[in-house]
Amino acid sequence: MAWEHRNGKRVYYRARRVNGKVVKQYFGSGLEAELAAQADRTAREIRDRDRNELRRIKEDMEEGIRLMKKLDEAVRVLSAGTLIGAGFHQHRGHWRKRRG
Amino acid sequence: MAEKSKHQQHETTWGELKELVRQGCQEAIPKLREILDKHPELWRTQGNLACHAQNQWLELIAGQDVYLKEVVARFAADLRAELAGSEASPLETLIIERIVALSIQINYYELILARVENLKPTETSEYLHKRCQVADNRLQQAIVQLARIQKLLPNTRPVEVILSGEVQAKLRRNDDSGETSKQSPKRMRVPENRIKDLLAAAKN
Repeated sequence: MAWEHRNGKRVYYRARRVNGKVVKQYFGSGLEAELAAQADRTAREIRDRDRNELRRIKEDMEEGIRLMKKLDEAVRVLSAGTLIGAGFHQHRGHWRKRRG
Repeated sequence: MAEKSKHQQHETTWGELKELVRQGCQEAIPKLREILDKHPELWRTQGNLACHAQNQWLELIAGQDVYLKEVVARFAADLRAELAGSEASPLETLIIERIVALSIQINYYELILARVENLKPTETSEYLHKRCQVADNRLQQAIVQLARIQKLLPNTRPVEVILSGEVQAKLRRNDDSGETSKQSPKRMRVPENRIKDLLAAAKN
């Protein structure tokens, strides 16, 4: 999305990606161009705000997610240890009691 | 056999021992028990890990809002009491703590989603939806795991004996005042909730 100079005139183009290729849409230099530029600027601001928000949320959650992974691991190890200790074994993902 | 020789040849580290247990090595069990007996801080730390995780999500949900923190902490305590009753084994307790932590985590995602979600889906809302779905799947797995442990291990309580905090408090009050409840505490049923329903379904 940018203003470009063509034959001494300032014109606005909106660039989008269609099927992997960049396609430019021409808006000229009039009111339509101003409105398109304003809309694109607003959309960009919203997108930037959203990305910053997402980055902040990910940073906030980092420690919680790390602790949850450790907790999952602890539960997995203790479950396996307890079941094996009680005479079970794992067969194709299912816990079965050993015979005899 | 390779596992056994590896286990016997050298002093196994805690990490290696955990890995052997995870792989189902029977020979590693006595050693694991010995270490856990000798170093109770190992399993106590892992027990506390659940507490750390819960507190972390609680802090994120409530931040400086002490009232919200209190409300969510009470929700967590109630859920814990409902699931654990008074006879939960240490393993059950740990799984229950994981369920509680996951519930708080999902609450956090839903709270943030409500804040960021507009009419148009954004990168943030899509990310949070995905994380929420993952946490929800893990919660269901944890519930199935709890049901499986209760089913496989004979000394664990059946699902239907779970009591809510409110019911337990009422029973304690009755006991203090000398009243005897006609219904055994173990037979009383908890109020309906999603986790209990899932637990019952997983058990069947």
